[in-house]
Amino acid sequence: MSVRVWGLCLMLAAGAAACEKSPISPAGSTSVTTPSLVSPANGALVPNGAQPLTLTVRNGVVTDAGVPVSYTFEVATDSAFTVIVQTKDAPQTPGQSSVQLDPLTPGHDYYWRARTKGDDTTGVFSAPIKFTIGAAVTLSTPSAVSPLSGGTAEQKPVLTVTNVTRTGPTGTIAYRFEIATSTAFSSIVASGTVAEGSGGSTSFTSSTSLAADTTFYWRAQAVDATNDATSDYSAPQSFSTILSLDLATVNYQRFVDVSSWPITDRILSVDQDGGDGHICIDHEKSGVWPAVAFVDPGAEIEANQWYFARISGQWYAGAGEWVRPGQICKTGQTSGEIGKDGTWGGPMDTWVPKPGELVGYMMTTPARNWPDIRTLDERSNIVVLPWKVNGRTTP
Amino acid sequence: MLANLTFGLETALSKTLLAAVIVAAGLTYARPAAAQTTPVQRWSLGVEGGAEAVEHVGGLGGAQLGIRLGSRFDLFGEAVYLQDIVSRRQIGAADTIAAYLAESQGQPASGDLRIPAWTGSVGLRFFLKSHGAVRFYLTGQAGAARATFIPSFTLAGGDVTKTLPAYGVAAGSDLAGETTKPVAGGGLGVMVGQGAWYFDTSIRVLSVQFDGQASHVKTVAFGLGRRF
Repeated sequence: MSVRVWGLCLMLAAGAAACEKSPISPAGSTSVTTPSLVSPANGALVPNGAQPLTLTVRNGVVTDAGVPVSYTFEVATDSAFTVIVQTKDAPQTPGQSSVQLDPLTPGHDYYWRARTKGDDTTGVFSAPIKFTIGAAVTLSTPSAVSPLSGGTAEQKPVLTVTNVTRTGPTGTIAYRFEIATSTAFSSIVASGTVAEGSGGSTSFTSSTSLAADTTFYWRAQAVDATNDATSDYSAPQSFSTILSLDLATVNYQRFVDVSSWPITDRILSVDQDGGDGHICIDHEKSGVWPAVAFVDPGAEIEANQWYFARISGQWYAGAGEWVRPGQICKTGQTSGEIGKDGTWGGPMDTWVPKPGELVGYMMTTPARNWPDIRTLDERSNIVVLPWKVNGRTTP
Repeated sequence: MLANLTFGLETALSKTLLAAVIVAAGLTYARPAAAQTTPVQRWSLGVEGGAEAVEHVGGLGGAQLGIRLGSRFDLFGEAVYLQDIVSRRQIGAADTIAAYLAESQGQPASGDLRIPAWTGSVGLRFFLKSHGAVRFYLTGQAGAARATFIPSFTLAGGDVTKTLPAYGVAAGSDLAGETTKPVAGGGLGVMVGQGAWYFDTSIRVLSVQFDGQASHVKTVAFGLGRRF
């Protein structure tokens, strides 16, 4: 074969090879892939209160790391995206990229998708996924019941509001209570959330012991966590704390430790005078707690009066007096007698309260070790008041 | 392995050049004196074939038209087909997309890219000797390359190259299409033969200026031409 023929063959082979075409056309200068849709996940129910909603994708792959990358997000009311309600662009951020939507109409299903744009290459949209914006829920503002402004409360106060009215398919309603040192509520000293109470009101007992003799402010709001809906806060109310006792730190001398007994009773009033020695403690369970036979033939008792004395920084408690069914007043508790009567040989034996000195009072079901009489093992709250002598609470 | 191939290519080139020198020397001293007085022929036309390598080794083929400018200079125009000038970076882009396919589809995937190209260039050849049957030369050239990107992607054993958008991939011009880019290069060679026919061997590096990164094509070519 001549050289000319070889040359011709070579040219033909090269030409044939050169006729190769790229099997695909480029979409731009760089190659990109679809981002992965992260949130909301497919089928997610987004509470209306969680709006504005943020869409998040895991970044797509861009083969040229040096080009600007952004993402286009689309939201539609149908999976075919014939009715697109929002289109948003966002620049790429490391790892994941997000965009915040404008509020969507509640109570509807939506579909969203995203695509990558790298330099001049516009990628393909991801397969759409569905999410639902929950129904609109509204909650009225709770009203404060107690304590109202100017009132008093214990160091672990009980706060009560009226239950709210609501519209829409609400979930379980709870109430968040906040206690602060100012009406601005910039410094919350205690807070908590409790389930809605029955009977039209909801109460919260602070687990935090507030400072005594201090003014605080409180407010509450209703919360529907299912729909991420909240009410406005109730109007702030003020209250002053009165000194109260932590029963876990009290020295019970030789009496029963009642710190774990449930509080089922509430003291309505305390009236005493260290001059004539009377102490009247009116309480809700007076005449209600079960009567039990006493050591005296034919006698019955239902409760004990308790006195609390603070001696050298330590609180001591003594179940000083038995009370009969329905009885609220006792005598013989003068300033010189109450200590001995509240201890029976213990640390309170020499205690003589002075006018104005803070003394605690409580009612319990029978709680003395002798005679060993017990019934329900329940108690009231504790009320701390200045000791009064001959009508005066000042020295 | 690729480095071994390239090294092997260069070793083969060296041996080829040595062989060409020996053959040329033989031809030079074997030819009758009358042949050495052949009138000067200004034009030349030749064909060439050989091998080229960037990340892959492939063949090359083309033609060259030259004109003698003086005793030491030739001007030539050349058209050469290069079988595959894909660079490491371009293969990396294909690998990146294959990795995405594997991850997003949960199936084994692979990616490859070939870039055949035509180059057309004009160059100068400087002979170290003004005459003789064996003349070594240095050469430089510049022109344009028309490159065709031929990607190939498989997913679970099936070819998905033409359906990449269905898998979320928008291929850019780093993986697809045709492009024309500047090319420049140079090298050295030896031309053997004083009469109408000559044998030419050269090694050259052609640099194709793709976006972002040049593809440096190492070539070894063997040519046969005729002066007229």
